[in-house]
Amino acid sequence: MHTYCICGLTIASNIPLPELGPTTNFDAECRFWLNPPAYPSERDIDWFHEWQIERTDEEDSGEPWARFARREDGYLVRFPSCADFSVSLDVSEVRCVPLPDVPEVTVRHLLLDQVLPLILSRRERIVLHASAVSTKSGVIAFAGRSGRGKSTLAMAFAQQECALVSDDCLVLRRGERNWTALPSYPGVRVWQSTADELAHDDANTADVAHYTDKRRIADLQGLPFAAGPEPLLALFVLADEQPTISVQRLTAAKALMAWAEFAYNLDITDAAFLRAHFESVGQLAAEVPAHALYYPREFSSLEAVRVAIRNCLEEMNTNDPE
Amino acid sequence: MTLNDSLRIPDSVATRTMGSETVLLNLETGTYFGLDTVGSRFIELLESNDKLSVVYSRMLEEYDVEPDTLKADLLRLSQEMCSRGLLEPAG
Repeated sequence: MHTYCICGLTIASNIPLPELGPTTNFDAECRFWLNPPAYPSERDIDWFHEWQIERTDEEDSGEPWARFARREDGYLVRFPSCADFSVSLDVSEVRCVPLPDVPEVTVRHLLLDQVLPLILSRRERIVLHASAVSTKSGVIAFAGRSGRGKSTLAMAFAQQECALVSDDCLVLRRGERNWTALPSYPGVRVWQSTADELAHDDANTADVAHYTDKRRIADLQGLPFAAGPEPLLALFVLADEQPTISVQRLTAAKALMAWAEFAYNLDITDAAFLRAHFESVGQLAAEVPAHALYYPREFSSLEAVRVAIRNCLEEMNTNDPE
Repeated sequence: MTLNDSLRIPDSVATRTMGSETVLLNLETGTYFGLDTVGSRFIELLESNDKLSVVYSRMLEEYDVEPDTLKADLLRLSQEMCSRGLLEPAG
């Protein structure tokens, strides 16, 4: 087995996961097996939840991106066009059966960027669908729906003396004094146009998955990666595109609603988990400033967006020097 | 629904007051619902007395609002919250 670390979780895998960094801790908390490809044999599955993704009309087949079912021994997460992932009840074991012809790179992407965040959601207090970077003052995070520009913004900051903390999955822990953000794994996933615009000319890019044109950039020279957990300073929700840049403070109630919307959750029917999670996001919303960020999605605006965010952070620091 | 109805927050709903606003979570559906300052006051009063008529009278004293407007707003909010499983008939 190969052993790695992601978001503080030690995972052992029967296939190499080159996207992840090596670890010296070989006491795996989660084990992953890639099994031989097959077509699903189970029928009449009682799905309790599904994910839809925003598609163009031409792409919309009506089929959900992912479906969730509960079994006696755990959960089944099905990506109908790619693979089944079986997750044990205690989230310590994950087994994947891909459809025939689905390449390993797609399996790795689904594991790292879709399934492991769900597993982490059962182990950690809060796991947000957010990118994050480490600034001199602390970590700032950008949450938003797919395609809102989380990775692009994180990449833009990471090229300006900031270290990348997360591209898509942000684990937050509450310490004695504050919330801390755990680094996920190096690299960002962006469209080719973003890579062309923002990456170094000699930066290596790799396929993300067979079904998308997105590129994975893990250039540690151009995109330094955070060395360890750091205090969380502020959260930004990437709001609908606007022609002008503005940053608006969210009330704690609106922040709570946002963090609940952008949190990963393997089992939305687990009332005990929901109640505990409600307390956690409520505490986060009460303790960490949150803002809605409006801006035009143009590369030429990124520098002005960075300035607006820095001004916002300086204002926060002035109002609350502690 | 009328002002003669009595309503309460079901056990399957968690609430959290954040400043002057309130967020409710329906634990059976996993859906969240936010209330502004006035809506939060409505829930606060309803938790101390489940009769809509009592809540209505109290809010009429507290807010500069036309009686018919307040009545319509309260009944509309109550109806919406009931349909989302955030309120249920009391008693």
